[in-house]
Amino acid sequence: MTASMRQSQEWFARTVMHEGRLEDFVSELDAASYVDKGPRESRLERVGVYHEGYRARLVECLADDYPAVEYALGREAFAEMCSSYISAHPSRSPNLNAFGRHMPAFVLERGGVNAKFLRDLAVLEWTIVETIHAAPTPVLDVESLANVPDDRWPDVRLTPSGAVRLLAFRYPANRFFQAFREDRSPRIPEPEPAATAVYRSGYAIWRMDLEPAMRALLDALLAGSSLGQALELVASDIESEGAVMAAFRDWVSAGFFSAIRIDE
Amino acid sequence: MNRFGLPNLGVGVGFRAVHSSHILENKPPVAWFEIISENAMQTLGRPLQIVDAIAERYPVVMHGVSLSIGSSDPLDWDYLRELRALRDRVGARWVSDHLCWTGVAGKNTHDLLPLPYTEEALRHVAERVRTVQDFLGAPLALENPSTYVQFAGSTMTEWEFLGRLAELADCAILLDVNNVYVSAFNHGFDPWTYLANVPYDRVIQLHVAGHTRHAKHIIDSHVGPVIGDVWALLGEAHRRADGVSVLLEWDAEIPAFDVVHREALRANEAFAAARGAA
Repeated sequence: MTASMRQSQEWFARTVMHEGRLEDFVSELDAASYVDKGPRESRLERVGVYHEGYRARLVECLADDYPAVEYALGREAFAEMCSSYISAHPSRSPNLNAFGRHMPAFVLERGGVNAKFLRDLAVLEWTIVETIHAAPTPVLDVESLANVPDDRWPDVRLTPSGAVRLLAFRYPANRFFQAFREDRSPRIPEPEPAATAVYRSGYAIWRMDLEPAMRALLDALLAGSSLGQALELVASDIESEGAVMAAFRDWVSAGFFSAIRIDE
Repeated sequence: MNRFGLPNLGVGVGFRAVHSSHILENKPPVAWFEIISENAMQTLGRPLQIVDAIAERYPVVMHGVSLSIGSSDPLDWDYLRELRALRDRVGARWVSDHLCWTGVAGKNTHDLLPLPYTEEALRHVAERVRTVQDFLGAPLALENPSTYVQFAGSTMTEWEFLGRLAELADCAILLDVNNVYVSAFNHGFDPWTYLANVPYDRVIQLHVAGHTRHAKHIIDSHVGPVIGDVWALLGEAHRRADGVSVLLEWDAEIPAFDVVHREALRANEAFAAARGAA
């Protein structure tokens, strides 16, 4: 009896998506119920083209999203991890934009000696992907800061751009990432608290490392605190008011904020 | 002219993100671009902004890879709504996808999987094409896929299935001559027989691309340049269609944009050769 279309598709999808050797999953004889042999190839060889292509395509997608994680793990170990990831999180979406979103949690759950570092690195790389896809928002013009009366600066509140993310790490993930991008063959670093802002300006994605005090300040501003409230939080840690204002202007210039308002 | 009255846009190039900066900065004289629909979907960020910028300057056509028109799963209406919204946003001249399925039971393989060419599949796909066309308010063009396996239950050839489907569903055809060549090699049929049995009044676009030859099969890798036999098929299909939009796809080991564009323009030599031979 000929298989129905549904039966054929379920069998074919199960076979193509099987993790492991195709010949361990299906025999040439079983395959004969569904597919024909070709002029030069057996049934399993023919199905094997799809079986091999399935994982290769998705591993390539994950390598596009996580090039530094691939470097840190090594190509073979990365592909092996991705194969497990693909089985644990098969795509259910028409496109692959969000396919890699579970990777930070996956590398941590998977464990291993460098799991916590790899998690930080994966968070950084996934945040870059998210920032690429974030909706553009109007960017606050630096010139508009000139309209703020000197005595009203403590009451200033800023609306964050949709294309900025602030990350806190246990490892210097961005330093490693930058060294990787520059082909400097970085080694897995020792733990060291770090913070990085990831943002999009025009079509370009940027990363900015932040000292702890500046990170706390930016965190408070992005969370909606007024400039006065945010400064109070970090008052004991900042070097000078000038340094704060310079950082603040950098953030505005970089497009971290989309609007400014002054509390009445 | 095709029966849908869709224009011959000339020879275009498949837009790939790696060429974004070059295209936006240099505005090369390209007749039109084909964008991969899904690359500008489920995003509000850079990919969509770049496609917007391309569509401001060039005629654009949308080519999808995840409609999964042949799946036995229900149609994905969220996908279709977003597809239509993107079509309207960028003013795409038409929308195409593949005669294939990409997954079942809710899982997507992100591959263009072959259909069993049966009466059951024909009825199923035709009904879904009609539904999609009603929703889009426009003809959908379906592309013949490159395939590496054939289902045992198939009762007709691919060209017979494609022709009957186009008639039943009143849809358009995107004829990929490289896919014809690849499938012909993999399954042992004559590509010229395929070409002789296509209803050209429904063909609104031709695809051409490079491929990768392995020991026992050919993979539709879209690595250029295009081989002579495929250019010959393109010329003949273009002649039979009496002139139709042509597009070069180049998806792996992508060279500089000018190299891709020059390769695409070699289509004009194929057209002339086919006219001369006729």
